[in-house]
Amino acid sequence: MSRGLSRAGLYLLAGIIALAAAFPFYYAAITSLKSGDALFSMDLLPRQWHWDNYVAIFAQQPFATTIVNSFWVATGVVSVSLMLGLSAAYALSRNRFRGRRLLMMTILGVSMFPQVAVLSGMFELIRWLGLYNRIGGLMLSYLIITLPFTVWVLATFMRRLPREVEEAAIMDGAGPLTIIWRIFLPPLMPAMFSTGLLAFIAAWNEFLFALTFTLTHEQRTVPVAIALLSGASEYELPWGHIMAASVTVTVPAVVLVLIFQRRIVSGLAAGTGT
Amino acid sequence: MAEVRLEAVCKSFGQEAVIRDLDLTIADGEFCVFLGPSGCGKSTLLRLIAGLADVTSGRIRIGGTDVTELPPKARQVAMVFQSYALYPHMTAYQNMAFGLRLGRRGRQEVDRRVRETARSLHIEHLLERRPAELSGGQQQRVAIGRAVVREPRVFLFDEPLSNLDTDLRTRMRAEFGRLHGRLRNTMVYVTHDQTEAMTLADRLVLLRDGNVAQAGPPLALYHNPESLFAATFLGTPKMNLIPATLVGAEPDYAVLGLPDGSHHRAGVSAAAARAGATVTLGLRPEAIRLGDQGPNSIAGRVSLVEHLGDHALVHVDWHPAAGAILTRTQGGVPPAPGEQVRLSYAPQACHLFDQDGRAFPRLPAERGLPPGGSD
Ligand SMILES: Nc1ncnc2c1ncn2[C@@H]1O[C@H](COP(=O)(O)OP(=O)(O)O)[C@@H](O)[C@H]1O
Ligand SMILES: [Mg+2]
Repeated sequence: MSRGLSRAGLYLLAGIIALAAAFPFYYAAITSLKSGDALFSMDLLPRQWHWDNYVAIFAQQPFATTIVNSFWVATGVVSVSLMLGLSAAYALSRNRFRGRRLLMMTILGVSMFPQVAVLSGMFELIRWLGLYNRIGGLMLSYLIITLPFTVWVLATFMRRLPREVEEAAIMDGAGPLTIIWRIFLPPLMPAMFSTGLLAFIAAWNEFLFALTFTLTHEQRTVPVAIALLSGASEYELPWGHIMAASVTVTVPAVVLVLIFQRRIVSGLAAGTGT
Repeated sequence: MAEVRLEAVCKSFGQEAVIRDLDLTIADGEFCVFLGPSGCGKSTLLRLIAGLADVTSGRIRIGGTDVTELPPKARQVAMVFQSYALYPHMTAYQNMAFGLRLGRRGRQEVDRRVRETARSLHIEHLLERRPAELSGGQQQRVAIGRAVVREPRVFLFDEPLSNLDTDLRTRMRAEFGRLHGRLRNTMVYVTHDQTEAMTLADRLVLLRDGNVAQAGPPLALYHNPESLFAATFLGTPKMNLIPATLVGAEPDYAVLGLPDGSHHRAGVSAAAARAGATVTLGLRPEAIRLGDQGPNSIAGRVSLVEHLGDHALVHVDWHPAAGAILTRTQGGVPPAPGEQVRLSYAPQACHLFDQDGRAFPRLPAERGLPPGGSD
């Protein structure tokens, strides 16, 4: 009896949390389907389905290009973060060397700075590298956001793999790269997927660097493009367009999360053999 | 196949010297067991031979080639780890094939060798399983298979049986003996278990504080330990140690004064020591008999009897200045606790050590005595 009650309580709680998390997105979705004055009426169900907002965002500006930019930036950041993160994690977790702890702490420390603090320095760096108003500049700057947690999470997971397994591979004639790829990577896949996913989301949603380091429409990423959407007049906020754009770029991200979430879970279920 | 030669090998971790100026030659095809208390540097020594650690100084030769500077893969040695260290995400087959594939062997050759090895180790039916789906003993076999399949010149085993339960350990121990009988490779086997060491070794290397305390055939170490350390480390239950004084040394025996004032004869050559020297008399429990026989006898009172089926261990208190004497009785009815008994032993059963723990030579050589006491 009491077990049934507590179970019901659990579901209720879960329901409330799910509702709280999903409602803003749901509201954005139905708002994006409204037009004109209907935008400002509180409806929980859309009365009509207007696709005007969706058509408009692609027609009035290079929104497709923007999405492609975001996609490349995020994909690039994820690949580079994982590659560098994995090799750095190997060095930091498998080798003892002087200053290792200091290095780990510095990496963590860097991620604690607010983005604004590094903005001007990063701007100079990007200009000096000739990457201003280029996708490459964004990728580079996002690495300072994604690398610290990638390195830390991967190093933590890697430290749990027994040293003797690595030594067995050395005895089998494997070099460092083979060991990383063939021995450490497979058991680390769940960690790779989760950190990769977090890095993707971070890069996909980043606004401040994207606004500062790009100039033209053609180089913009999604968050900036949405923020800079203009209405019919100076005094009007284009809510319908903003919502349509938000839904358009969120859906792929959500799908991606769902796909990889399954990979993460199945990876964990397959186990690391311990 | 190859001889392993360690020449003046030293290994330190920072300030701490773990291996100190160690010289050792392991003959081609020999089953050599490193035995020693935990922390004496057995694993370190094995890792030096494997190339997983670098010597601080000294040379290591395998098959006549100086391999001191060579990486592990160039040394053609294989190692089986205490934790088995199988690759968790690979099947048994992939575990065994991994090294061969890295060595760019053809797919067919790899397949043939893996299957042959699996058959010889009776793990053919396990080849498609991952380590998590194997029992400890099966993982052990796969780990051995992974070493065997590479056909190395030298096998290195680091306490391979220590994670198994007693029953399985006994069976796998015999398996190691058979493996060596079949392959005839040089094998170096590390353990802190003297039963494994006694039963498996062609040659037993007893290590202490990073150096060789004594090396030789297991029975030679058992019967003629050169030091108090070797004498007490080998044999269960432990050798009894009795403080004594050297009264006189004859050509074929020595006369000892025991704490209770009696004089005993020991079949050792103590001519090197002066009379009056403090010595330690060592007696294995199985060398002491109940009853008054011969020149050496001790009176005491039974304090404890441990019945172990085919034999019993009898603890006898005899003199306040010396500890209890442990004897091992075979057959017959052992005395009851509290009973007054006499113990006696033959002069030939004595081990005698000087104040620094060095053994005096035994007379005559111990061939006549029955082996035993190792388990
Ligand atoms: N990587 C290392 N760094 C520092 N000290 C070590 C290292 N490996 C072993 N030691 C030390 O060397 C000594 C011998 O270790 P080991 O060879 O593992 O002993 P055994 O295998 O005989 O138990 C120990 O005191 C241990 O603390
Ligand atoms: Mg060890």
